[in-house]
Amino acid sequence: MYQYNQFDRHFVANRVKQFRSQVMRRLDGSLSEEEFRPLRLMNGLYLQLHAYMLRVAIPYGSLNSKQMHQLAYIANKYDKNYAHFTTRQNVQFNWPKLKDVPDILNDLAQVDMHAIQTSGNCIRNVTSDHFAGASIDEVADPRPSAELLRQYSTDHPQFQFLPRKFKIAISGSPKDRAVIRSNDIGLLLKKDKQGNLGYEIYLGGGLGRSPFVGKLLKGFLPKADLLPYIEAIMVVYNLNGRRDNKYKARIKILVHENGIKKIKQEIEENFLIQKKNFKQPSDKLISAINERFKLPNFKQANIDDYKTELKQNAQFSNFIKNNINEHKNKDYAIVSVSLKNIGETPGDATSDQIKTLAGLAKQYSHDELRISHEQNIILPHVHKSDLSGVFKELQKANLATNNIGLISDIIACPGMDYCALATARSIPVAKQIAKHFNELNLEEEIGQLKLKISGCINACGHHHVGHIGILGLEKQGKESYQITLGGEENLSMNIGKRAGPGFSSDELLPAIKRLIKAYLNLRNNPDESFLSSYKRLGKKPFINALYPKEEQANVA
Amino acid sequence: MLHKQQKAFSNITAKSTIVRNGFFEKAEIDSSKNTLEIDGNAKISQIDLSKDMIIIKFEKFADGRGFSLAKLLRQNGYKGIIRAKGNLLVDQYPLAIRCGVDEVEISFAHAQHQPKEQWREALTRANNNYLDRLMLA
Repeated sequence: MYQYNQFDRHFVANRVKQFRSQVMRRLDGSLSEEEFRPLRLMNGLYLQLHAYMLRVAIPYGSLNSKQMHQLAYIANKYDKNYAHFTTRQNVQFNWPKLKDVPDILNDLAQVDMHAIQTSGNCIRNVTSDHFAGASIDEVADPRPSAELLRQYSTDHPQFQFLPRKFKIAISGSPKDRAVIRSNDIGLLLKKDKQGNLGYEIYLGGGLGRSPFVGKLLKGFLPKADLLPYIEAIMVVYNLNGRRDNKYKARIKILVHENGIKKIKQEIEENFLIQKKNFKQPSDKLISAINERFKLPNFKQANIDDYKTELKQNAQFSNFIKNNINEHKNKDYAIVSVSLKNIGETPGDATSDQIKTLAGLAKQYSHDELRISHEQNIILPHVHKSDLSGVFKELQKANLATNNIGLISDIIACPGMDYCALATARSIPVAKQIAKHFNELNLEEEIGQLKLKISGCINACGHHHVGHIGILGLEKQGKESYQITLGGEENLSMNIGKRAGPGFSSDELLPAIKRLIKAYLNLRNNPDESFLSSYKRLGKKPFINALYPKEEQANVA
Repeated sequence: MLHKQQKAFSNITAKSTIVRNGFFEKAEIDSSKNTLEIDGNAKISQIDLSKDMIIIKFEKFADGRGFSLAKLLRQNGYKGIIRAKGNLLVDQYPLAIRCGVDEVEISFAHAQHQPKEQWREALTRANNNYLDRLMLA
C-alpha cells in the first residue's frame, strides 16, 4: 500500500482549507452557484438530480482497513448510511449536505484520502487491475507506475484545463482486468526480449456516445520514459484536441479524425523535446514508491482443513468456485466480494458491510482491499486456511453472494434514480434481471456472462463492452432499452453491436429471457460461454430470438 | 456570474492591470519593446523567439492551451518575457507561473472582482507542488 508522506498530507490539508473557505463564501451568498461550480468540481463535488454527490478517489482501487473504516464512518455520519462503489474504482456519497462537505474532506484527509481531480477536464484517478500485486498472471505490479502517474498528474500546471476529462488505466497482466483499451491512454506492463520492463501503449479508447477501441500507439516504451512520453501525449492533446464541441473533445476524436499515424508522429516529435527537458524522478523517489508496494509477509499454515471443508460444505465450495482467483502464493487466494446481492443496488454497501470488509481485510488480507471496476470489493491476500472464516463472516454481513462473473454480477450506472444526465432507470432493471435468473436458479447453468447497463448514452455502465449490453434511452417520454450484443473487455476489446429496436421497460426482461433461452439451446456444450457461442454463430440466431417473427409482424 | 466575468474580461481595452509577482501595476505601453501576441492556435515552430516579449491570449479561462504554449516556449529556449493576457482566473495564476509565465494582464473589471490580495495569496500556491517534487527530489 502506498502511504502518504508529509508532502502528500500537507497538500491535501491545504486543499481542504481552501475549499472550506469557498464553501463558506457559497453559503453566505458571496459566490453564486455558477462561480462555485468550477471550484466544487475541482474537489469532486457534483450537483445531481436530488442532492450534491461527492466522488472520492481511491487511487488505482487500492485501500487499507483504516481508510475503509473511515468510509463507513462518513456514510454513517453525513450520508444515508451507505456508499456507492463506481466503475472507475472510486466511491461516491449520494446525499452529503454542502455545509458538511469540508468536514467530510477533512475526515478523508485524516486517512490520506481526497476527492481531488475526480471531476473536471483534467487527468482523473488512474485506474488499475483490481488483482494488482496478488494475481499469479501479472508480469509486474502496475501500482507503482499508477502511483507515479498520480503524483505526476495531481495539480499538473498544464493539464487542469484540457479540452475534456482524461482517463488513464494500467494493467500489469496480459489478462487486462483494467479494460485499458477503453481509456484515453491504456498502459500494459510487459518485458522486452532482454527482460527489461516497459509499457505497451494504447491511445484514444473510450466508451460514451462514440465508443472507440484504443489503438496501439507504441509496442514498447522503456519504463524510465513513462513520464516524458505521457507528457508528450498530453501536450499534443491539450494543444490540438477539439474545444468547439464538448462531444468531440476527447482524445479519441482527435485520433479518429487525424489517424493514429499522424498523432503518433506529433507525439514522437514532442517526446524528443520532453526527453531533453525532463528531469527524471530520482532513484530514491522511485524506490520509495516501490517500497510501499512490497509483497506482504505471507504466512505459512496448514491448509488441510480448508480442503476438507471444500468437500463437505457445498455452500462454501460454491462460493470458492465463483469468487476466488489464483494468487501468486499457492497457499493464498484472491477473494472477490460481490456487491451484487440479489435485489440490491449494484455497487452499494452499507456502513456495516463496509466495516465488516475493513475488519476482514485487517484480520485476513494483510490490511489490503481493492475496488474493482465491476463494482465489487477484493480481499487480495487471504490464506487458504482463513477462507472458511472469511466466508462465514461474509455470510453474516449478507456479503457472501457467489455470483462473480455470472449474469447477476451486473455493472449498472446510477441511472435516473440519482443521475442528472440519465434518460432511463438502470438500477431497477439490474435488480429485476438478477432476481429473475437467481430465482430460477439459472445463473450457474448460464455460466460466465457479462451484462452491463447504462441509463444514458454516456455509457457509465460500460454497456458497449458487455457480452449483453443494455442502453436506457427516452423515446416519446417513455423509457426504451436498446440491447447490444457481443461486446468484449480486455485486450481483445470489442464494441457490442446494436441488436435492433429498443424495448419498453415491460418488454425488456422477456426479451433478455428469450435471448438467454436461445443461447442455452444453441451452445455446443455447457462450457461454451454466451460470448463464445455468439462469436461462433454470429448475431443472427440471437437477433431472431430477441425479435421473434410474430412480434415483428405485430410491429409492422 | 462567471459568464458575466467572461464578457468583462474579453473586453480588454487600454485600461488594464498587470499582475507581477502578486502585485498590481498599471499597464504601461513601452514602445521600445519588441513584442508578439499569439493565441491558442499558435504553432510553436512558427513563433519568432527573438522577441523581447510574447503575449499569450487566454480567450476563455477553460481553454488551457496557453499553459502548454508557455511551457513549450521555455522548453524551446525562449528567455524573454511571457505575458498571459485575458481570461485567466486568480486560481490559475500559480499554474501559469509554473508554466513559465512572468506576468498577467487583466482588465480593470477583473482586477476589481479579484483583488490583489487574492493574487498574492494564489502565488503562494505556485511552490511546493507534486511535479517539482518529482523532478527535484
